[in-house]
Amino acid sequence: MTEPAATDRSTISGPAPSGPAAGSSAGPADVLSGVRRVRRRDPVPLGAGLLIAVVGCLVLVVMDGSYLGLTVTTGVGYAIVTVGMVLQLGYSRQLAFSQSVFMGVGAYGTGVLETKYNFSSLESLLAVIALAAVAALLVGAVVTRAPGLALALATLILPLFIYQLATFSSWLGSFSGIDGVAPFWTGSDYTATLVQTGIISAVLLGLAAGIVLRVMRSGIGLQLMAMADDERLGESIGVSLRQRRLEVFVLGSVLAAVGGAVLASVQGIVTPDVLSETSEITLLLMVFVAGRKSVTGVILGAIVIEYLTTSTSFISTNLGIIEGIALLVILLVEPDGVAGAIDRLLGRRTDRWAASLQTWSAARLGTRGQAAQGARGGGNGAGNAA
Amino acid sequence: MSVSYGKFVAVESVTLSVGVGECVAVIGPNGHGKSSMVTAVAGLVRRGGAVRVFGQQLPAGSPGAAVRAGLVLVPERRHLYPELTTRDNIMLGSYSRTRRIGARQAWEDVAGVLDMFPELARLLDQKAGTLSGGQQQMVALARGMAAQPRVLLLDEPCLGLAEAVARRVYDWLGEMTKTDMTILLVEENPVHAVLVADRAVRMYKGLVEQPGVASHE
Amino acid sequence: MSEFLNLLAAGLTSGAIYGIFGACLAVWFRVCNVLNLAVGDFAMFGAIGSAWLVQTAGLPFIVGIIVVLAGVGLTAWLFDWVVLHTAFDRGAGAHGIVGVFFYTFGLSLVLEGVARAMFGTDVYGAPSIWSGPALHILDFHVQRAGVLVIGLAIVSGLILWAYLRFTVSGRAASACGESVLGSRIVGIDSAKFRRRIFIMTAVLAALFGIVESPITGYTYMSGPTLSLIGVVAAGFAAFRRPGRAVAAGLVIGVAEAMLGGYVSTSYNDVLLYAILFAIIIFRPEVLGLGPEPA
Repeated sequence: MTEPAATDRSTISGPAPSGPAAGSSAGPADVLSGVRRVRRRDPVPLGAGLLIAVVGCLVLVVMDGSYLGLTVTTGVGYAIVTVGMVLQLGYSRQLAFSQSVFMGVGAYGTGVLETKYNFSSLESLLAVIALAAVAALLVGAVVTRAPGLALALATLILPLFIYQLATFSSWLGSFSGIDGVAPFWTGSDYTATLVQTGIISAVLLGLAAGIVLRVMRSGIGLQLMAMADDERLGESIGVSLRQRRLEVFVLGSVLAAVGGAVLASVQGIVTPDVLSETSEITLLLMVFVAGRKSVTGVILGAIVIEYLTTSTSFISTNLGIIEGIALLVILLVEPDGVAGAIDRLLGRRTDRWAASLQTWSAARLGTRGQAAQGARGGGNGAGNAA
Repeated sequence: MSVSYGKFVAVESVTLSVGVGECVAVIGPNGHGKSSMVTAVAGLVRRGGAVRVFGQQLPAGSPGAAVRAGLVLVPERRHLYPELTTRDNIMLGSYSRTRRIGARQAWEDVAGVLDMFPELARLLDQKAGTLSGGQQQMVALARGMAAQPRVLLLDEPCLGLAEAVARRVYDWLGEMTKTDMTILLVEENPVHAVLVADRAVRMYKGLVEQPGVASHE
Repeated sequence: MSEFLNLLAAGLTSGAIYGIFGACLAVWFRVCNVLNLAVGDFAMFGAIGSAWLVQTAGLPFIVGIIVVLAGVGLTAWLFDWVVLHTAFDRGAGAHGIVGVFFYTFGLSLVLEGVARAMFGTDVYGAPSIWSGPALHILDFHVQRAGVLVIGLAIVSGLILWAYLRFTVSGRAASACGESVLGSRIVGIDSAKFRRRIFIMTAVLAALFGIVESPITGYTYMSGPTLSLIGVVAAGFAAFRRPGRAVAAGLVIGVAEAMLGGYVSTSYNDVLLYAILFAIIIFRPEVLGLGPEPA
């Protein structure tokens, strides 16, 4: 134990003598029942999901099919992907770079099913979800077996050859991709169609946000955070790491696919660009700069960055430099992104659950007679190191 | 000579003096600042207050300066270089001297260190990460000695070691106390500590209690 | 037979680049546990910068080379001083596996953006250092620049290997990456090693860009793919061993060429990446990475 708590920035310190009462009187049973109580009546996921969907719909209706509305709707598509990434990257620390690939699965799946097999929008959406789930299970079962760094490297390579496959496959339309994807909800004219498609997208986004929030605030969410901070800690409270890793991977990938389907419907066309490394880079930036632990943060981040990318001003031409610098600043100053900074300024603790976990696991580890050293890695709470 | 320091560990302060050639044991329960104090003395973490070795004040936050002044830490849990060989691990102990006196002279001095730990002779080419806990502790001690210290800081040298191995470590330590090496020993187990120490101080909640007189041979 | 040898020569040339990038990555990772994802971009700056200085600014080639290498070194030094020093010496910022990738990833984005702003989207090739038609050895052709690249890669790889293995400084550098605390207590200045090796690998990468670019043109976006393959090559060297990284790079390059020549020119990269993916996932031990706890 060599780090003095004086220089420790976390609001929850490890079992250091001078830290705040890490070993409070809450026993494991109390916290568990607290979790169970919340699970039954936690209004936040449903509320947040509804709120996001409603706000999204209102915004899009107001924009009334304008170019801005198109941009925002596209942003919503990306937002669905990033919401899944919050789970993967923000909470589980699962450094996988495969989201753009699954986005492509969703987009291409929608395109192929609608144009070549005449599926309706709803049918293709459901089929794409099923397809992505199966693919994610297969890929995930293999990939999550590998250690963290191998997982990261392998998923870095994945987009490279999937992209090449797509560009060389004439069935997938090579470089020009697939045209003629139907929007989610065809209206009387272009404007109405765009708005109505946007409404469906916003609803899907609300759904995605609700699901992710639900997972994060549940017992599973606690386990994921334990796993992320210190895998020994996770094991000691009975988490099946491999299963959790797989579940997170599948959920993140399925959400990415849904986002891809939205993109295809909104833009009416699917090109290999959705599978490229640039696409993945854009997603990573959306998540990191906005704040990878914040669902609302990444939604706004996705929409804002999409807007900046398509604007013709100085910003979009130099976007690479701006994004790079923003990323570095974020990493150095506030690893939890803009959302994290806002939370800190407002004095809120987003990781209330980290506190529950800390008490629970400290008590649990204590009863198992393990040394405090085991919990040392699990002592990082809000706003601390990646 | 005196080593005196006043310091703030988390929220506490400590003042301690150690005489030349003395062996002082710092005992007390875990988590009460013993290790923090010792690592701060070695310059590894920020500290308030001063550390003086042989009358010379050490700059804060510079472990290199501490080593050059002859103050060497053998840290808790050893922190060896697992992929390097035993020989390299020990030799790097004299790194700061190498820069001054050249590699060959440093290596000759290190050979003298190896005489203290004959059991390491056959392990020299083995990767340090593959050694047993007891062997690793020997290597850590040897690495510390390779720096030709005048003041030796030992942080829980028997942590995780079997009783027989711990005894070996304390035998060596006993030999060292007979030299004019100044030793500050952090030890959770007071029974071990009193075997070799001239006196003991107890740390509790980051503060040094009344220094006690330890019985010794 | 000659086709095989031609493919081999081409494969060795591109493989040498992968290999030396892998060696640069491996050595620096060994010292500070961070992956330099911008190594390809440094090479790109070497290639395009020197080409631009000669062709557009009209400087003599040797001056252009010196200016570019100095510029790259300065950029590397600046990045270490502003970003890495703040992150790792002052303890601010993100660490862990995020830190391994994302600091240099941010740098790479900035470098690409700057390159695009300065040089546009054109393809550039620096003038040849050893100009002349392709050499005709026995039965096959090899580009002169290719010979330079391969030779330089082998020499650099040997120097890096020897440095780490035989010098005190090299062993101290390794110690930095193996135990942060352990290196500090013997007085090793790990920040200094991190900075110097970063600058050295950046300049080396830029030099390779200059030497190799007459064969393949570089655009502002050439960096990332090269960096990525370099990471893979370094991975096969367990992110530690420069000699093995060079060898791994050569094998990857030759495999790429052979797949292109004998299987399919369009799909050779697809197959190559698929094979690499499979190896990483199914045999992470090859990369020196242990199995995950269940």
